Amino acid sequence: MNNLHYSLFLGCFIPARLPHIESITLKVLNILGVQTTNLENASCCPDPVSSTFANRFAWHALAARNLSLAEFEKRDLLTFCSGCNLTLSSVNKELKENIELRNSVNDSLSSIDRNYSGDINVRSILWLLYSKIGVSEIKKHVKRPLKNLRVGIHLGCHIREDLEEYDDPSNPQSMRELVSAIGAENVSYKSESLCCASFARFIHESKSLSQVDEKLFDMQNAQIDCLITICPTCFLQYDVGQLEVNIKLKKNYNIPVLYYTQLLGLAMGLTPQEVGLNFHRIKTKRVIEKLNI
Amino acid sequence: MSNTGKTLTFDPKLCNGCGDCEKACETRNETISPKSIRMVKNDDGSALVYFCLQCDQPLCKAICSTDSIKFNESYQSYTISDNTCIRCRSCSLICPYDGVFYDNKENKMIKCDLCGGSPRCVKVCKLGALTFNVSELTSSVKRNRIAIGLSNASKSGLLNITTHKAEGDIGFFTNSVFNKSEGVRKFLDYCHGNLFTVSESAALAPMSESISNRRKTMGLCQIKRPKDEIRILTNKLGLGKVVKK
Repeated sequence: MNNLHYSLFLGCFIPARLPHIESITLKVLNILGVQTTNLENASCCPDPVSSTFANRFAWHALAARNLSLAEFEKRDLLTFCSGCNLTLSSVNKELKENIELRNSVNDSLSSIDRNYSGDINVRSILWLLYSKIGVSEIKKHVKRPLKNLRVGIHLGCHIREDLEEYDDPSNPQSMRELVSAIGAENVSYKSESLCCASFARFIHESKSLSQVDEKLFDMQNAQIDCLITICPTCFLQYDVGQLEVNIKLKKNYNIPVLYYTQLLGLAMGLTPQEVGLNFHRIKTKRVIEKLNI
Repeated sequence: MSNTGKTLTFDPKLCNGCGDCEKACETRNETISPKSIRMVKNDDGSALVYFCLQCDQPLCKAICSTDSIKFNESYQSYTISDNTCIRCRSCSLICPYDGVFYDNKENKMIKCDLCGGSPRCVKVCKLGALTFNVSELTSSVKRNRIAIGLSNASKSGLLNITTHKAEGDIGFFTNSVFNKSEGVRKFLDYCHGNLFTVSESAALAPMSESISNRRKTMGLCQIKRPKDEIRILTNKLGLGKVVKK
Protein backbone atom coordinates (compact mmCIF):
# COMPACT_ATOMS: atom_id res chain seq x y z
CA MET A 1 0.00 0.00 0.00
CA ASN A 2 1.33 3.42 -0.77
CA ASN A 3 0.52 6.99 0.08
CA LEU A 4 -1.92 6.35 2.87
CA HIS A 5 -1.69 9.45 5.00
CA TYR A 6 -4.51 10.62 7.24
CA SER A 7 -5.16 13.31 9.80
CA LEU A 8 -5.94 11.53 13.02
CA PHE A 9 -8.87 12.59 15.20
CA LEU A 10 -8.18 11.03 18.59
CA GLY A 11 -11.29 12.12 20.47
CA CYS A 12 -11.56 11.94 24.26
CA PHE A 13 -11.69 8.41 25.63
CA ILE A 14 -8.76 6.92 23.73
CA PRO A 15 -6.09 9.54 24.58
CA ALA A 16 -7.35 10.23 28.10
CA ARG A 17 -8.33 6.79 29.33
CA LEU A 18 -7.03 4.19 26.90
CA PRO A 19 -3.67 5.43 25.58
CA HIS A 20 -2.52 1.81 25.15
CA ILE A 21 -5.17 1.44 22.42
CA GLU A 22 -3.88 4.58 20.71
CA SER A 23 -0.34 3.25 20.94
CA ILE A 24 -1.03 -0.23 19.53
CA THR A 25 -3.30 1.10 16.77
CA LEU A 26 -0.56 3.46 15.61
CA LYS A 27 1.99 0.61 15.72
CA VAL A 28 -0.25 -1.68 13.68
CA LEU A 29 -1.02 1.05 11.13
CA ASN A 30 2.70 1.75 10.81
CA ILE A 31 3.32 -1.92 9.99
CA LEU A 32 0.52 -1.73 7.40
CA GLY A 33 2.13 1.33 5.82
CA VAL A 34 -0.40 3.91 6.99
CA GLN A 35 0.89 7.29 8.10
CA THR A 36 -1.09 9.48 10.48
CA THR A 37 -0.66 13.03 11.72
CA ASN A 38 -2.46 14.05 14.87
CA LEU A 39 -5.07 16.73 14.19
CA GLU A 40 -3.87 19.51 16.48
CA ASN A 41 -6.23 21.88 18.25
CA ALA A 42 -9.18 19.53 17.80
CA SER A 43 -11.93 19.71 20.42
CA CYS A 44 -14.34 17.01 21.55
CA CYS A 45 -16.20 15.73 18.46
CA PRO A 46 -18.84 16.51 20.26
CA ASP A 47 -20.52 13.25 21.12
CA PRO A 48 -23.44 12.17 18.92
CA VAL A 49 -25.99 11.48 21.67
CA SER A 50 -25.93 14.00 24.50
CA SER A 51 -24.75 17.00 22.48
CA THR A 52 -27.49 16.60 19.91
CA PHE A 53 -30.07 16.62 22.70
CA ALA A 54 -28.58 19.72 24.25
CA ASN A 55 -28.19 21.88 21.15
CA ARG A 56 -28.19 20.42 17.67
CA PHE A 57 -26.87 23.49 15.90
CA ALA A 58 -23.97 23.84 18.33
CA TRP A 59 -23.22 20.16 17.70
CA HIS A 60 -23.02 20.90 13.96
CA ALA A 61 -20.86 23.97 14.45
CA LEU A 62 -18.36 22.39 16.86
CA ALA A 63 -18.01 19.31 14.64
CA ALA A 64 -17.63 21.53 11.56
CA ARG A 65 -14.78 23.34 13.30
CA ASN A 66 -12.96 20.01 13.71
CA LEU A 67 -13.66 19.17 10.07
CA SER A 68 -12.32 22.55 8.97
CA LEU A 69 -9.01 21.79 10.75
CA ALA A 70 -8.66 18.60 8.68
CA GLU A 71 -9.58 20.47 5.50
CA PHE A 72 -6.76 22.90 6.25
CA GLU A 73 -4.36 19.93 6.39
CA LYS A 74 -5.85 18.70 3.08
CA ARG A 75 -6.10 15.12 4.31
CA ASP A 76 -8.99 12.76 5.04
CA LEU A 77 -9.79 12.40 8.71
CA LEU A 78 -9.30 9.04 10.45
CA THR A 79 -11.10 8.11 13.68
CA PHE A 80 -10.55 5.25 16.17
CA CYS A 81 -13.88 5.82 17.94
CA SER A 82 -17.31 4.96 16.57
CA GLY A 83 -18.89 7.94 18.34
CA CYS A 84 -16.43 10.45 16.86
CA ASN A 85 -16.90 8.78 13.51
CA LEU A 86 -20.68 9.08 13.67
CA THR A 87 -20.59 12.76 14.65
CA LEU A 88 -17.93 13.84 12.16
CA SER A 89 -19.15 11.77 9.22
CA SER A 90 -22.83 12.59 9.64
CA VAL A 91 -22.16 16.31 10.14
CA ASN A 92 -19.85 16.21 7.11
CA LYS A 93 -22.53 14.50 5.04
CA GLU A 94 -25.29 16.83 6.22
CA LEU A 95 -23.27 20.00 5.61
CA LYS A 96 -22.19 18.84 2.15
CA GLU A 97 -25.86 18.45 1.18
CA ASN A 98 -27.60 21.20 3.14
CA ILE A 99 -26.28 24.53 1.85
CA GLU A 100 -28.48 26.61 4.12
CA LEU A 101 -27.18 24.83 7.22
CA ARG A 102 -23.60 25.07 5.93
CA ASN A 103 -23.96 28.83 5.48
CA SER A 104 -25.26 29.25 9.04
CA VAL A 105 -22.45 27.09 10.39
CA ASN A 106 -19.87 29.05 8.40
CA ASP A 107 -21.36 32.27 9.73
CA SER A 108 -20.58 31.00 13.25
CA LEU A 109 -17.15 29.72 12.25
CA SER A 110 -16.25 33.11 10.77
CA SER A 111 -15.93 34.39 14.36
CA ILE A 112 -12.79 32.26 14.68
CA ASP A 113 -11.62 32.75 11.07
CA ARG A 114 -12.44 29.22 10.05
CA ASN A 115 -14.49 27.92 7.20
CA TYR A 116 -16.02 24.56 6.35
CA SER A 117 -15.96 23.75 2.66
CA GLY A 118 -16.75 20.04 2.54
CA ASP A 119 -13.76 18.70 0.64
CA ILE A 120 -12.51 15.88 2.84
CA ASN A 121 -13.92 12.51 3.93
CA VAL A 122 -14.19 11.05 7.42
CA ARG A 123 -12.94 7.48 7.71
CA SER A 124 -13.30 4.88 10.44
CA ILE A 125 -10.58 2.43 11.49
CA LEU A 126 -12.89 -0.40 10.37
CA TRP A 127 -13.22 1.14 6.88
CA LEU A 128 -9.45 1.59 6.69
CA LEU A 129 -8.62 -1.99 7.69
CA TYR A 130 -11.42 -3.75 5.84
CA SER A 131 -12.21 -1.64 2.83
CA LYS A 132 -9.02 0.30 2.08
CA ILE A 133 -6.22 -2.04 3.19
CA GLY A 134 -8.24 -5.21 2.79
CA VAL A 135 -8.34 -8.66 4.35
CA SER A 136 -5.80 -10.19 1.96
CA GLU A 137 -3.19 -7.50 2.69
CA ILE A 138 -3.73 -7.98 6.45
CA LYS A 139 -3.23 -11.75 6.05
CA LYS A 140 0.23 -11.10 4.58
CA HIS A 141 1.34 -9.53 7.87
CA VAL A 142 0.17 -12.37 10.11
CA LYS A 143 3.21 -14.00 11.74
CA ARG A 144 1.39 -15.75 14.56
CA PRO A 145 -2.07 -17.03 13.49
CA LEU A 146 -4.35 -16.97 16.54
CA LYS A 147 -5.36 -20.60 16.23
CA ASN A 148 -8.10 -21.95 18.52
CA LEU A 149 -8.83 -18.51 19.97
CA ARG A 150 -12.62 -18.22 20.26
CA VAL A 151 -13.53 -14.60 19.58
CA GLY A 152 -16.91 -12.92 20.15
CA ILE A 153 -17.63 -9.61 18.41
CA HIS A 154 -19.38 -6.55 19.79
CA LEU A 155 -19.56 -4.17 16.86
CA GLY A 156 -21.63 -1.53 18.64
CA CYS A 157 -24.35 0.79 17.42
CA HIS A 158 -22.60 3.92 16.19
CA ILE A 159 -20.54 2.19 13.49
CA ARG A 160 -23.67 0.94 11.68
CA GLU A 161 -24.08 4.04 9.53
CA ASP A 162 -20.46 3.73 8.41
CA LEU A 163 -21.06 0.12 7.33
CA GLU A 164 -23.51 1.22 4.64
CA GLU A 165 -20.57 1.94 2.34
CA TYR A 166 -18.84 -1.44 2.54
CA ASP A 167 -20.95 -3.94 4.49
CA ASP A 168 -24.52 -4.90 5.34
CA PRO A 169 -25.47 -2.92 8.49
CA SER A 170 -28.17 -5.42 9.47
CA ASN A 171 -25.88 -8.44 9.07
CA PRO A 172 -22.31 -7.14 9.20
CA GLN A 173 -19.53 -9.47 8.06
CA SER A 174 -16.53 -7.11 7.86
CA MET A 175 -15.36 -7.67 11.43
CA ARG A 176 -15.90 -11.44 11.12
CA GLU A 177 -13.66 -11.48 8.08
CA LEU A 178 -11.03 -9.43 9.90
CA VAL A 179 -11.11 -11.90 12.81
CA SER A 180 -10.84 -14.89 10.44
CA ALA A 181 -7.97 -13.17 8.59
CA ILE A 182 -5.76 -13.39 11.67
CA GLY A 183 -6.58 -17.04 12.22
CA ALA A 184 -9.00 -16.72 15.13
CA GLU A 185 -12.37 -18.43 15.35
CA ASN A 186 -15.56 -16.32 15.11
CA VAL A 187 -18.09 -17.33 17.74
CA SER A 188 -21.67 -16.05 17.54
CA TYR A 189 -23.67 -15.50 20.70
CA LYS A 190 -27.30 -14.73 21.37
CA SER A 191 -27.41 -11.02 22.15
CA GLU A 192 -24.68 -9.97 19.72
CA SER A 193 -26.43 -6.84 18.43
CA LEU A 194 -27.47 -5.57 21.86
CA CYS A 195 -26.31 -2.04 22.67
CA CYS A 196 -23.54 -1.70 25.31
CA ALA A 197 -26.00 0.65 27.13
CA SER A 198 -23.30 3.11 28.16
CA PHE A 199 -25.58 6.12 27.64
CA ALA A 200 -28.24 4.49 29.81
CA ARG A 201 -25.88 4.79 32.79
CA PHE A 202 -27.13 8.36 33.12
CA ILE A 203 -30.78 7.36 33.02
CA HIS A 204 -31.07 4.03 34.69
CA GLU A 205 -27.77 2.71 35.99
CA SER A 206 -29.16 -0.62 37.14
CA LYS A 207 -30.85 -1.25 33.78
CA SER A 208 -27.61 -0.37 32.00
CA LEU A 209 -25.65 -2.83 34.13
CA SER A 210 -28.24 -5.58 33.73
CA GLN A 211 -27.98 -5.18 29.96
CA VAL A 212 -24.20 -5.62 30.24
CA ASP A 213 -24.88 -8.64 32.46
CA GLU A 214 -27.30 -10.14 29.91
CA LYS A 215 -24.73 -9.88 27.18
CA LEU A 216 -21.86 -11.23 29.31
CA PHE A 217 -24.08 -14.17 30.27
CA ASP A 218 -24.63 -15.04 26.60
CA MET A 219 -20.92 -14.67 25.86
CA GLN A 220 -20.05 -16.96 28.73
CA ASN A 221 -22.52 -19.55 27.45
CA ALA A 222 -20.91 -19.36 24.02
CA GLN A 223 -17.54 -20.02 25.73
CA ILE A 224 -15.64 -17.21 24.07
CA ASP A 225 -12.03 -16.54 25.04
CA CYS A 226 -12.25 -12.81 24.45
CA LEU A 227 -14.54 -10.07 23.18
CA ILE A 228 -13.53 -7.72 20.38
CA THR A 229 -14.74 -4.13 20.08
CA ILE A 230 -13.99 -1.30 17.69
CA CYS A 231 -15.25 1.50 19.94
CA PRO A 232 -13.64 2.81 23.15
CA THR A 233 -17.00 3.43 24.83
CA CYS A 234 -18.10 -0.15 24.25
CA PHE A 235 -14.63 -1.28 25.34
CA LEU A 236 -14.95 0.51 28.68
CA GLN A 237 -18.50 -0.71 29.19
CA TYR A 238 -17.38 -4.36 28.93
CA ASP A 239 -13.97 -3.99 30.59
CA VAL A 240 -14.62 -1.63 33.51
CA GLY A 241 -18.38 -2.38 33.33
CA GLN A 242 -17.73 -6.11 33.69
CA LEU A 243 -15.88 -5.43 36.91
CA GLU A 244 -18.86 -3.37 38.09
CA VAL A 245 -21.29 -6.14 37.19
CA ASN A 246 -19.13 -8.61 39.10
CA ILE A 247 -19.13 -6.42 42.20
CA LYS A 248 -22.65 -4.93 42.16
CA LEU A 249 -24.56 -7.91 40.78
CA LYS A 250 -22.31 -10.46 42.50
CA LYS A 251 -21.28 -12.23 39.30
CA ASN A 252 -18.06 -13.89 38.42
CA TYR A 253 -17.40 -13.11 34.76
CA ASN A 254 -13.92 -13.28 33.37
CA ILE A 255 -14.14 -12.33 29.71
CA PRO A 256 -11.15 -10.30 28.48
CA VAL A 257 -12.07 -7.41 26.18
CA LEU A 258 -9.73 -6.32 23.39
CA TYR A 259 -9.82 -3.54 20.82
CA TYR A 260 -9.43 -5.17 17.39
CA THR A 261 -5.96 -3.72 16.71
CA GLN A 262 -4.68 -5.33 19.92
CA LEU A 263 -5.65 -8.74 18.59
CA LEU A 264 -4.18 -7.84 15.20
CA GLY A 265 -0.95 -6.80 16.95
CA LEU A 266 -0.73 -10.20 18.66
CA ALA A 267 -1.22 -11.89 15.27
CA MET A 268 1.55 -9.70 13.81
CA GLY A 269 3.89 -11.17 16.40
CA LEU A 270 3.92 -8.32 18.92
CA THR A 271 4.16 -9.18 22.62
CA PRO A 272 1.21 -8.90 25.07
CA GLN A 273 3.09 -6.00 26.68
CA GLU A 274 3.46 -4.23 23.33
CA VAL A 275 -0.26 -4.47 22.59
CA GLY A 276 -1.01 -3.12 26.08
CA LEU A 277 -2.77 -6.15 27.60
CA ASN A 278 -1.33 -5.22 31.01
CA PHE A 279 -3.60 -2.17 31.27
CA HIS A 280 -6.91 -4.04 31.22
CA ARG A 281 -9.27 -4.17 34.20
CA ILE A 282 -10.38 -7.69 33.28
CA LYS A 283 -7.18 -9.70 33.24
CA THR A 284 -6.16 -11.02 29.84
CA LYS A 285 -4.31 -14.09 31.15
CA ARG A 286 -6.81 -16.37 29.44
CA VAL A 287 -5.92 -15.03 25.96
CA ILE A 288 -2.19 -15.22 26.63
CA GLU A 289 -2.47 -18.80 27.90
CA LYS A 290 -4.65 -19.91 25.02
CA LEU A 291 -2.16 -18.52 22.50
CA ASN A 292 0.72 -19.94 24.49
CA ILE A 293 2.76 -16.72 24.33
CA MET B 1 -55.85 7.43 6.77
CA SER B 2 -54.92 10.74 8.31
CA ASN B 3 -55.71 11.61 11.88
CA THR B 4 -53.84 14.85 12.25
CA GLY B 5 -53.69 15.88 15.88
CA LYS B 6 -55.44 12.82 17.32
CA THR B 7 -53.85 11.39 20.43
CA LEU B 8 -54.33 8.23 22.43
CA THR B 9 -54.83 9.09 26.08
CA PHE B 10 -55.52 7.15 29.24
CA ASP B 11 -57.48 8.29 32.28
CA PRO B 12 -56.62 6.16 35.34
CA LYS B 13 -59.74 7.38 37.18
CA LEU B 14 -61.99 5.56 34.71
CA CYS B 15 -59.98 2.32 34.43
CA ASN B 16 -61.17 -0.77 36.28
CA GLY B 17 -58.26 -2.97 35.16
CA CYS B 18 -60.33 -5.38 33.03
CA GLY B 19 -57.40 -5.90 30.64
CA ASP B 20 -59.52 -5.86 27.47
CA CYS B 21 -57.15 -3.31 25.91
CA GLU B 22 -54.20 -5.71 26.25
CA LYS B 23 -56.21 -8.55 24.69
CA ALA B 24 -57.38 -6.33 21.83
CA CYS B 25 -53.79 -5.26 21.23
CA GLU B 26 -52.55 -8.84 21.16
CA THR B 27 -55.14 -9.80 18.56
CA ARG B 28 -54.67 -6.75 16.31
CA ASN B 29 -53.31 -9.02 13.58
CA GLU B 30 -54.61 -12.42 12.52
CA THR B 31 -52.18 -14.19 14.79
CA ILE B 32 -51.28 -13.26 18.37
CA SER B 33 -48.83 -10.34 18.33
CA PRO B 34 -46.69 -9.00 21.17
CA LYS B 35 -48.56 -6.34 23.14
CA SER B 36 -47.66 -2.70 22.57
CA ILE B 37 -49.89 -1.63 25.44
CA ARG B 38 -49.19 -2.95 28.93
CA MET B 39 -51.24 -2.89 32.08
CA VAL B 40 -49.90 -2.86 35.62
CA LYS B 41 -52.31 -3.49 38.47
CA ASN B 42 -51.61 -1.77 41.76
CA ASP B 43 -52.23 -3.23 45.20
CA ASP B 44 -55.12 -0.82 45.80
CA GLY B 45 -57.03 -2.21 42.80
CA SER B 46 -56.24 0.66 40.47
CA ALA B 47 -54.55 -0.07 37.17
CA LEU B 48 -52.15 1.78 34.92
CA VAL B 49 -51.62 1.42 31.23
CA TYR B 50 -48.39 2.08 29.37
CA PHE B 51 -48.12 2.78 25.68
CA CYS B 52 -46.15 4.99 23.33
CA LEU B 53 -47.26 8.62 23.74
CA GLN B 54 -46.03 9.62 20.26
CA CYS B 55 -43.96 12.46 21.78
CA ASP B 56 -43.40 15.63 19.81
CA GLN B 57 -39.64 15.33 20.28
CA PRO B 58 -39.13 11.64 20.93
CA LEU B 59 -35.99 10.59 22.76
CA CYS B 60 -36.23 7.12 21.16
CA LYS B 61 -35.90 8.64 17.70
CA ALA B 62 -32.99 10.81 18.80
CA ILE B 63 -31.06 7.92 20.35
CA CYS B 64 -31.59 5.49 17.46
CA SER B 65 -28.22 5.06 15.80
CA THR B 66 -29.63 3.43 12.67
CA ASP B 67 -32.35 6.05 12.16
CA SER B 68 -34.97 3.31 12.24
CA ILE B 69 -37.68 5.31 14.02
CA LYS B 70 -39.58 7.54 11.63
CA PHE B 71 -42.82 9.47 11.70
CA ASN B 72 -45.36 7.72 9.53
CA GLU B 73 -47.58 10.42 8.02
CA SER B 74 -50.43 8.10 7.15
CA TYR B 75 -50.42 6.40 10.59
CA GLN B 76 -49.72 9.70 12.39
CA SER B 77 -47.38 7.77 14.65
CA TYR B 78 -43.72 6.91 15.03
CA THR B 79 -42.97 3.47 13.66
CA ILE B 80 -39.87 1.28 13.84
CA SER B 81 -38.47 -0.22 10.67
CA ASP B 82 -37.68 -3.88 11.37
CA ASN B 83 -35.34 -4.03 8.40
CA THR B 84 -32.89 -1.46 9.69
CA CYS B 85 -33.42 -1.90 13.45
CA ILE B 86 -30.48 -3.80 14.99
CA ARG B 87 -32.31 -4.64 18.25
CA CYS B 88 -29.86 -2.70 20.37
CA ARG B 89 -32.80 -1.67 22.62
CA SER B 90 -31.50 1.85 23.19
CA CYS B 91 -34.99 3.21 22.48
CA SER B 92 -36.50 1.05 25.18
CA LEU B 93 -33.83 2.11 27.66
CA ILE B 94 -34.32 5.82 27.08
CA CYS B 95 -38.14 6.03 26.81
CA PRO B 96 -39.33 7.74 30.01
CA TYR B 97 -42.81 6.23 29.67
CA ASP B 98 -41.85 2.61 29.01
CA GLY B 99 -43.53 2.89 25.62
CA VAL B 100 -41.12 0.71 23.62
CA PHE B 101 -40.66 -2.95 24.44
CA TYR B 102 -38.35 -5.69 23.27
CA ASP B 103 -40.05 -8.96 22.41
CA ASN B 104 -37.74 -11.84 23.08
CA LYS B 105 -39.81 -14.40 21.20
CA GLU B 106 -40.04 -12.46 17.95
CA ASN B 107 -36.71 -10.70 18.48
CA LYS B 108 -38.06 -7.29 17.64
CA MET B 109 -38.93 -3.95 19.14
CA ILE B 110 -42.61 -3.39 19.80
CA LYS B 111 -44.24 0.02 19.84
CA CYS B 112 -47.77 1.30 19.39
CA ASP B 113 -48.53 2.48 15.85
CA LEU B 114 -52.11 3.45 16.73
CA CYS B 115 -53.26 0.44 14.64
CA GLY B 116 -52.76 2.64 11.58
CA GLY B 117 -55.14 5.31 12.83
CA SER B 118 -57.91 3.34 14.51
CA PRO B 119 -56.66 1.89 17.82
CA ARG B 120 -58.42 -1.37 18.75
CA CYS B 121 -57.77 -0.83 22.48
CA VAL B 122 -59.98 2.28 22.40
CA LYS B 123 -62.82 0.38 20.71
CA VAL B 124 -62.92 -2.28 23.45
CA CYS B 125 -62.54 0.08 26.42
CA LYS B 126 -66.10 0.08 27.75
CA LEU B 127 -65.48 2.66 30.48
CA GLY B 128 -63.82 5.21 28.23
CA ALA B 129 -60.51 5.20 30.08
CA LEU B 130 -58.71 5.03 26.75
CA THR B 131 -59.70 7.66 24.21
CA PHE B 132 -58.48 8.74 20.81
CA ASN B 133 -59.47 12.34 20.20
CA VAL B 134 -58.50 15.55 18.48
CA SER B 135 -59.81 17.98 21.02
CA GLU B 136 -57.63 20.62 22.58
CA LEU B 137 -58.44 19.08 25.94
CA THR B 138 -56.93 15.78 24.85
CA SER B 139 -53.63 17.30 23.96
CA SER B 140 -53.47 19.37 27.12
CA VAL B 141 -54.33 16.33 29.26
CA LYS B 142 -51.61 14.38 27.52
CA ARG B 143 -49.14 17.19 27.98
CA ASN B 144 -50.02 17.52 31.63
CA ARG B 145 -49.58 13.84 32.27
CA ILE B 146 -46.18 13.94 30.67
CA ALA B 147 -45.40 17.01 32.69
CA ILE B 148 -45.97 15.25 36.00
CA GLY B 149 -43.24 12.79 35.26
CA LEU B 150 -40.91 15.14 33.51
CA SER B 151 -41.43 18.51 35.11
CA ASN B 152 -37.82 18.57 36.17
CA ALA B 153 -36.55 17.58 32.76
CA SER B 154 -38.50 20.33 31.11
CA LYS B 155 -36.71 23.02 33.10
CA SER B 156 -33.96 22.77 30.52
CA GLY B 157 -36.52 23.68 27.87
CA LEU B 158 -35.55 20.67 25.81
CA LEU B 159 -38.82 18.84 25.75
CA ASN B 160 -41.31 21.67 25.30
CA ILE B 161 -43.46 20.34 28.07
CA THR B 162 -45.72 22.54 30.15
CA THR B 163 -45.25 22.04 33.85
CA HIS B 164 -48.64 22.45 35.46
CA LYS B 165 -50.07 19.43 37.13
CA ALA B 166 -53.37 17.81 36.23
CA GLU B 167 -55.39 16.69 39.21
CA GLY B 168 -55.93 13.00 39.66
CA ASP B 169 -53.52 11.95 36.97
CA ILE B 170 -50.63 11.30 39.29
CA GLY B 171 -51.30 7.56 39.22
CA PHE B 172 -50.43 7.43 35.58
CA PHE B 173 -46.80 7.48 36.51
CA THR B 174 -45.81 4.59 38.66
CA ASN B 175 -42.61 4.48 40.58
CA SER B 176 -40.74 3.05 37.67
CA VAL B 177 -41.74 5.88 35.40
CA PHE B 178 -40.88 8.39 38.07
CA ASN B 179 -37.49 6.83 38.61
CA LYS B 180 -36.87 6.78 34.93
CA SER B 181 -37.95 10.35 34.40
CA GLU B 182 -35.61 11.33 37.22
CA GLY B 183 -32.97 9.49 35.24
CA VAL B 184 -33.91 11.34 32.08
CA ARG B 185 -33.65 14.62 33.97
CA LYS B 186 -30.14 13.66 35.06
CA PHE B 187 -29.34 12.65 31.50
CA LEU B 188 -30.54 15.95 30.10
CA ASP B 189 -28.55 17.79 32.78
CA TYR B 190 -25.58 15.76 31.66
CA CYS B 191 -26.27 16.67 28.03
CA HIS B 192 -26.26 20.37 28.82
CA GLY B 193 -23.32 19.96 31.15
CA ASN B 194 -21.44 18.02 28.52
CA LEU B 195 -21.90 20.61 25.81
CA PHE B 196 -20.99 23.25 28.34
CA THR B 197 -17.81 21.36 29.22
CA VAL B 198 -17.00 21.06 25.54
CA SER B 199 -17.49 24.76 25.17
CA GLU B 200 -15.74 25.73 28.37
CA SER B 201 -12.60 23.67 28.13
CA ALA B 202 -12.82 22.26 24.59
CA ALA B 203 -13.18 19.17 26.61
CA LEU B 204 -11.22 16.18 26.00
CA ALA B 205 -11.93 13.94 28.96
CA PRO B 206 -9.78 15.17 31.85
CA MET B 207 -6.33 13.66 31.75
CA SER B 208 -4.89 12.41 35.00
CA GLU B 209 -1.22 12.78 35.81
CA SER B 210 -0.68 9.03 35.58
CA ILE B 211 -2.21 8.93 32.10
CA SER B 212 -0.09 11.90 31.00
CA ASN B 213 2.98 10.06 32.22
CA ARG B 214 1.88 6.88 30.52
CA ARG B 215 1.43 8.78 27.25
CA LYS B 216 5.00 10.10 27.58
CA THR B 217 6.39 6.61 28.22
CA MET B 218 4.52 5.31 25.20
CA GLY B 219 5.91 8.11 23.05
CA LEU B 220 2.45 9.48 22.26
CA CYS B 221 1.80 13.07 21.23
CA GLN B 222 0.84 15.85 23.60
CA ILE B 223 -2.78 16.92 23.43
CA LYS B 224 -3.36 20.65 22.94
CA ARG B 225 -6.71 22.13 23.88
CA PRO B 226 -8.08 25.00 21.78
CA LYS B 227 -9.65 26.74 24.76
CA ASP B 228 -9.70 30.35 23.56
CA GLU B 229 -10.95 29.56 20.09
CA ILE B 230 -13.77 27.41 21.39
CA ARG B 231 -14.74 30.09 23.88
CA ILE B 232 -15.17 32.66 21.08
CA LEU B 233 -17.16 30.18 19.00
CA THR B 234 -19.48 29.14 21.82
CA ASN B 235 -20.12 32.75 22.77
CA LYS B 236 -21.18 33.28 19.19
CA LEU B 237 -23.40 30.19 19.45
CA GLY B 238 -24.95 31.56 22.64
CA LEU B 239 -24.11 28.55 24.79
CA GLY B 240 -24.45 29.88 28.31
CA LYS B 241 -23.32 28.33 31.52
CA VAL B 242 -25.67 25.63 32.83
CA VAL B 243 -27.41 26.62 36.01
CA LYS B 244 -27.73 23.49 38.14
CA LYS B 245 -30.65 23.58 40.53
